[in-house]
Amino acid sequence: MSNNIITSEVINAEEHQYGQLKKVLGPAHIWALGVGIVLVGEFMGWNFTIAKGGSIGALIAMWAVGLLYVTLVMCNTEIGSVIPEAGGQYAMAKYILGPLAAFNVGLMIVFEYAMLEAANILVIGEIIKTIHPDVNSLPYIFLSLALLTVLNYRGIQATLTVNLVITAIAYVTIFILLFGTKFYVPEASLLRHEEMMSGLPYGWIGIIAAFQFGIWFYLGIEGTALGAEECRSTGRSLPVGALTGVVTLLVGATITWYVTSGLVNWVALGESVYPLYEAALATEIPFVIAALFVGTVLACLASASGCIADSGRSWFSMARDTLIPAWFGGVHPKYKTPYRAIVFLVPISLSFAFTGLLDQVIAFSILSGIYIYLLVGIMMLKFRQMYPLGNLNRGYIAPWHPYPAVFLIILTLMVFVGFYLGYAVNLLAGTVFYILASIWFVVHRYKFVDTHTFLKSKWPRPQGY
Amino acid sequence: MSGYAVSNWVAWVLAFALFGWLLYDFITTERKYSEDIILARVDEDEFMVNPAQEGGRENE
Repeated sequence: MSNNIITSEVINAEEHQYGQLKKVLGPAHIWALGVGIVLVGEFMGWNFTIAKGGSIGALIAMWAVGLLYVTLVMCNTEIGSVIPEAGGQYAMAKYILGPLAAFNVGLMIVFEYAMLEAANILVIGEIIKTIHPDVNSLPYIFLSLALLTVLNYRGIQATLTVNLVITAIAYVTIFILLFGTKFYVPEASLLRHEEMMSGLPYGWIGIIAAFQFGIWFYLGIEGTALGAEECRSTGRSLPVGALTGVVTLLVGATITWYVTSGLVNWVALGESVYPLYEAALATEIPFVIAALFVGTVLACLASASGCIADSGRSWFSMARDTLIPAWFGGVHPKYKTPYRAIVFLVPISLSFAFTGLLDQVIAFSILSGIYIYLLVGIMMLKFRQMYPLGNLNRGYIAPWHPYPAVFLIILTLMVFVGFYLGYAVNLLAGTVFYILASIWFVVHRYKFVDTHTFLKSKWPRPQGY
Repeated sequence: MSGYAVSNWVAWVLAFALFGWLLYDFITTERKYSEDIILARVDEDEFMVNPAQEGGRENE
């Protein structure tokens, strides 16, 4: 340590508010955090639903999984609006389910986003490589990661403002493709749904199998809750940002399915790496092609940036609550960001990216996500039992309780079945990993957990306590 | 050397510059501030206030 080291004794902490993340986010930032992470799924990945279930199967999976996410956001937002802490579902789990569940949920969030981040930066490199054979993907992969990490390191507001702009541009490119097809003039329309689409080539089981890829349309929207601690007004920003985000995605998903299904044959679409870009190529309109190229790159950048923000905040929260070594809970004195957690996760994401097993990395990300969704449904049922309406004021109240939570649990179990049909070994391996992590936590780590630090919100005691 | 090869090198240089700055700032911060500042927690009463119970007030 340097002799010029600054301590709390020599600096007036009241002036600098050390240890606190900045409260600078509004509803638009929350929208950008959620939609920014997810939008990449409309540019790639979702189309494997067509390979599994055909065009109609994909549409059914898209809407069924869309319903899953509507219920998820409803549950998530109600609980999240009373927990103004970074960590999202992790913070919810610690108040509602306890330390072991919180540890698992925190770990699942970190892996969900760190792996998604790895996939995003790899895809950026692959897309840029298509410009010319002399273009090497590796420097662009490193540059993207460096740029986004530095942005996140220096502050959440600037990061999410950039995310807001690039997400909006990427979203607009989907509309450019839609209007480029002239769908509104039947005689001139480029869409040929009758020729390009299929029915249900593999029957109803194909629809269930398509569910796991239908997740791509929305995976990560639940990350909106991770910005709760940094909202100027959590009770307003979180519900408005998250609910408008899910509506944005439902509209974008429907347009994506409609346009691509009318431009690209279902067999080719089911195998495509860049379905929206491929649909743009099918229009043969240079402006539309260029727009979708830019849109795909920006969607990947926005997603990777949101993933860095969310995985870092989850790791930070676990450290601050003593579930993992407290060292990771450091806040940058100048930028007010969880800088140690952000920097620590960079090499981990890079190592995932360079396994070369992209589909396996993504499968583990999705598996981590659906385990969280299952727990959110259970948490919602328990939350309303512990704190009935009137017992604790909420920023948002999910209507029709308990149906959203019950639908969430049922639909998530259906996704598990779909996952089993496609990735049974991954399902088993991922489950064993979380069981082993739980054993480690109970045997070796739990004794270090400071229960006074762990729970700090001044909630009233639950009913029947 | 083609323009694309040059752009590859420019991307490498920018990436290393950004990672270099990140490492520099990380080490500087670790040396400049003590753990009690970096791991400090704001007064729980103020920090963990529930905005919903406060009528969604601005927390700035």
